[in-house]
Amino acid sequence: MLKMLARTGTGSGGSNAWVLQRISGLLLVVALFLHYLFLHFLNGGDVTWNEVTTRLASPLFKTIDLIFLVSVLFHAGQGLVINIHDYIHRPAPRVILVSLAWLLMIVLLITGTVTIVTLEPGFLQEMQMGQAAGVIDAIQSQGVAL
Amino acid sequence: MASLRTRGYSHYRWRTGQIAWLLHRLTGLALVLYVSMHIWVVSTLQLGEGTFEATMAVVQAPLFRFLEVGLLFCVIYHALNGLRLIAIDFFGATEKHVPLFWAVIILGGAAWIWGGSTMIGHALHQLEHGQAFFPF
Repeated sequence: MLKMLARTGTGSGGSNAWVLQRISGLLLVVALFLHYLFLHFLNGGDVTWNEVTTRLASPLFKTIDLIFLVSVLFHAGQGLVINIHDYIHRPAPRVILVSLAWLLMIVLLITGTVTIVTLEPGFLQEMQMGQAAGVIDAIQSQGVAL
Repeated sequence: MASLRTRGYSHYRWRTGQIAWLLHRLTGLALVLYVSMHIWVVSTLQLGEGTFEATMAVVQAPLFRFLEVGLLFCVIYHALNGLRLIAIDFFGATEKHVPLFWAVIILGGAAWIWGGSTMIGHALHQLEHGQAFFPF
């Protein structure tokens, strides 16, 4: 992948990660600038429930926030993996820590996606109580096909 | 220094590139910690207006305004140094890496002072109006 970039080497795992870290980073600079602009400048500095839910009712902002979420978690997970590879050399602890890093990112991805996609009140409470059926109903009541 | 030498940290002299690298790494780790808490805090949107506003009242208290000045440093440095890395890796700016580092420090420093002073001003305003420094 991405071999058209002459300086990316062989195109094996490491150099893909390296170039994707730069692409996601560039995306994050733009996204984070907009994030600061909308949440901390244009609204006078305070974030309120009304303001956030109004903005998140728009499919455009849902899409932007989902792209932002995926890039930040990819970038963060990749950054953790780079640190683990630099300091943890024994195979077993390395595999365990890398797995834990990506597990954290997956948990955050699910949490963030649920927050962005549906704002049904009580949604997380139902999930915490393990009522999977209620969760699916809540998603479908938001018009999302499963 | 003996312990540092045996651990291999003094094989390089502490010069611009290594300082830039270390700061990028430390601010990156801090940002992973922050973004984890941030996604968790924002997920309280699901618990309704009352819970979300109560959570925001905690994380928008003066204590956190001051902590966010540190967060702003991490964000600005990591973003601008990240652009420097892209310039070095993709646009052949390797020989310019030192002046680019100082550009990051000067531009980032200016942005940090501007943003940080606004945030501290906001916190002082809250304190003047009798809000407690600690939200707990």
